[in-house]
Amino acid sequence: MSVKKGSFVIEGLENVQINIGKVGADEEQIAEGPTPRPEIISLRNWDYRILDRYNPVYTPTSDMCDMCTYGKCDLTGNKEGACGIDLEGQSSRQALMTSIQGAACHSAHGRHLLKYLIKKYGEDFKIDVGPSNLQAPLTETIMGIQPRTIGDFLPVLDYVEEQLTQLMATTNTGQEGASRDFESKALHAGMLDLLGMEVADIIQISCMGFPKSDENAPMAEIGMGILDPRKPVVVCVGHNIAAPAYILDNMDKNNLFDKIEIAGLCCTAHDMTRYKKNAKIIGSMSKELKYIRSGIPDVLVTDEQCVRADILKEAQKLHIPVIATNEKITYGLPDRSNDSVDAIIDDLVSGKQPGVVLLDFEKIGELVPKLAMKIGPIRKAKGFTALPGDDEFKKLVAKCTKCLQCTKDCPESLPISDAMMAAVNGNLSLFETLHDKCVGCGRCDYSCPAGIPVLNVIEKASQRVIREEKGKMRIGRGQIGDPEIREEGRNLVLGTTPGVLAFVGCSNYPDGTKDVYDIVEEMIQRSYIIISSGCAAMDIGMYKDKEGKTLYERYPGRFVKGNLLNTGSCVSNAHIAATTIKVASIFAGRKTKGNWEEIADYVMNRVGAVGIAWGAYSQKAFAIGTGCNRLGIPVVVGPHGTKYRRAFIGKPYRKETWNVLDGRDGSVVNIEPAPEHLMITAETKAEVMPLLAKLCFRPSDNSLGRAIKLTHYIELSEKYLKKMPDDWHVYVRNEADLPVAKKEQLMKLLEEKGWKIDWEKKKITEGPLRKVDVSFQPTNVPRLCKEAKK
Amino acid sequence: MNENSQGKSKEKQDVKIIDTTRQAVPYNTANIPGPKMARAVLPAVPGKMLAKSKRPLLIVGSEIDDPDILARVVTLGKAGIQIASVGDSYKYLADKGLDAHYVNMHALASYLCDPEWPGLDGKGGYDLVVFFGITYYYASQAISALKNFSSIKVISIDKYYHPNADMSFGNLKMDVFIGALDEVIAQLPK
Repeated sequence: MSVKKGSFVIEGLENVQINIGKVGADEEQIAEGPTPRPEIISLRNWDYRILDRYNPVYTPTSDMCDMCTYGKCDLTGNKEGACGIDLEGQSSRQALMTSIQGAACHSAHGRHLLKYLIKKYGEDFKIDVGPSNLQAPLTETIMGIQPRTIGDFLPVLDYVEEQLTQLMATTNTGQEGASRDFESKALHAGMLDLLGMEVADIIQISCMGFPKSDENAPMAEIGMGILDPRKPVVVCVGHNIAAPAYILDNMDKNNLFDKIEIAGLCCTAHDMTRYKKNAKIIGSMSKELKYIRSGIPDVLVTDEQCVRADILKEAQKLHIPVIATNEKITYGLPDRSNDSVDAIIDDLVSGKQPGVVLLDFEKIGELVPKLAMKIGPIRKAKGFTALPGDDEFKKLVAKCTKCLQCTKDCPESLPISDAMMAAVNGNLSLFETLHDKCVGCGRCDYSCPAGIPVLNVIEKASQRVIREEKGKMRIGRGQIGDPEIREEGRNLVLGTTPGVLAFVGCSNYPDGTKDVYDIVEEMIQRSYIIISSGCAAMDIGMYKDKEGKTLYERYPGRFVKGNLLNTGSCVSNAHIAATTIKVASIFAGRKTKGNWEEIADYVMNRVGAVGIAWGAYSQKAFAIGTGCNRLGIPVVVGPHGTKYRRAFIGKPYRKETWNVLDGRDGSVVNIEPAPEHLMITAETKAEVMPLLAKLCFRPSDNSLGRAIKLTHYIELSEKYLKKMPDDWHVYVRNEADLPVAKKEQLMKLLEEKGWKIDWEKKKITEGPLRKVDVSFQPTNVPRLCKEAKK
Repeated sequence: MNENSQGKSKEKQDVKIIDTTRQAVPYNTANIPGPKMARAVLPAVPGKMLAKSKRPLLIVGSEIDDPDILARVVTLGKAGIQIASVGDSYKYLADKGLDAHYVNMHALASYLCDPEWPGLDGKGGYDLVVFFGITYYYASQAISALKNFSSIKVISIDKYYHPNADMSFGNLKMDVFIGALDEVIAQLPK
């Protein structure tokens, strides 16, 4: 006889419940909505609703497909290839594959952490993310369960992995062919990505002592100029805290923080500071190559994600040993996990081996500080650096022929040769400006026909600004707590807080890191709630005002208007998306468990939240954005985002796509385009600010909220584009929606557009698309209307 | 140098300036989309096509801040060509009395692929799109949508070779670029 997991009651013994397996079902574990553990087509109707309004726009980087041996196939002009797929289908398949890659990355990170943390703390270790009854909003909404222990996440990751396998299967030649369904599947992968991230961050917050919804989380130092290069320097690169935690523990135990500098690059840095306050942050991925070539690191510790593929090669040139601590990135190095620490150190210090794979965390913790102490003085005595000396620098800049090949190969098309010419005359200021705008990819090195190591030259010339590069970042606080949602939810839904802007993603900025700071400063002064994470969160902290204060020092970290929050590393993006679920649940009382469609419908129509990934480069960022889109959150990406090849763009002139239902009676209401787009790009920071303001409009805004949002939309457009927005009037439903300070002026403009105004009563009598109705219950889902429920 | 020889020299220079077909390789080295890439053309070609077009649209972006380039945008606008001002370029055109409309480039690409789009002024779609002054890779991606999912003719008169356009100038130095724009303008009805 086989006994399955679950609970059952024996006839005659109704008061006795027998549980087999881990947990018996109780009220809290019963799904409240129709789609617990949705399969790859369970939410297709919701996806179709999204796609019908926000049409996928494809901008292929390649007109060909070379995925199978029929090809290469020329799909130019949307022709079909040998397998029958056309360019639209191929582009949507690429969107799906990109989403899967991103989701796989985050959830594999979660799986790695979960295995490790269960081994260390046991499956029954309680999850604790701070003051919250809704501790895992995404897990509840997707899985229909309320996890209580870290072991409860095992079936969650099982589900994610199984779904990702199913999705990946559909991308094979001879499988799915309809772009519409590829996009539905991409949205599914995006949702899985959010789920995988939530698991990863909740378990590390719970087990590793990270801040738990802490609005007063301490500050961390950040910048390329914060480390003392005279001390041995350990630099950890990547996203996974497991190995660096052991290094930090060992240093703590042996009082080494005064003797060794330890810092991180990319999201590992976030989590190192969440784990131990002594850790520091060098910066985003764009700083990796620059910092390694400075020669300052004495030991490089890699884990996973956003680690440059050439780290070993670069490090080897400067005799920096690489310790690869995660099986996902092993660089062809020998696995020395079973060898003694001293033997490994001997081989690394002598240069016998350029690096090792080391998967034993205890050994990593012991080895890295020891290695740094031993190799640090040797390296410093030899003065290893890739940067040229003063004389060599002069010779190198003089070699530039101004052929512009470096500019053509530069992702940002930077005017490098102008800086070279200026440097010949002793002016380094152009290079100093380039240092901020340069994403540190090193493509210029390969392109220079004169053999100038361009990146090294930029960095050599920028030593003055690099030394001064010292900022502050409030460390990752984790989730938004329930009390904060209770306090702010009403303002958000009614629109009296103009919006939540989430600055997320990577550092592939079109015009330097300062843009992010500038955008945040403008919007926070306008009382938007700014939430940040990942590399964007770091870059926000890199600049100071005239009084020498960073934005984190100027603005508090509570989830209320005009505050600046940092949730943490890349996986903490899950909390940003989950905040909208919390608003739906805590403020509006919507059921969450297994109820994705209703929650997403609520978010899309009522929560003025927008994501902005100004420097997004990775598949992970695309997956996060796509997951947010399925949750009804619009996302704006910088101009490089067009290379993701797909956006979701609304067409305001197609009135029929802007119909919603009134949940009270199921009647159809034609609404203003709000939000107008789900995924779109902008060319410059001046363009993106009014766009962000516009994407915060929601059909549910009350008049006061709409007037506030309209004020910012108009003011930002006038300030940065020197014009009134062409469509501002579309968002006016009655005179109370108009910004008070400009009411009369705007009413005159409306009259010029043909609207009827009763000037005596100062009322609009004819013109708006619809009236304000405070009881309006906008929904895109027919079954949620009361009539349907009856 | 006598006046005659000065004139000949000027003529030679002019011929050199308006040869826009050289360097017709993608400005960003790796931006090779596929077998179909833009035909490199002399300025007279887009100039004549603009002159003949019933409903042309000029798209300009954030790189029109240079006074020499801006002056050419204004001249084209004054010649009656409607302007789609993408990125933050409207701030340069706000007070110039042109038929210029702000629109997001990505959204514009989407609208241009839709035969039912009523245009920026509600008077219908366009039969020719000409563009310059937009961040290179951004423009390249946006027009890849038009190339593959619309039948609209797209011409780049930018200083970069744009493979996704139907026709394009090659990669031009600034002085050649300005000269080429003047040559385009010269074809328009006065």
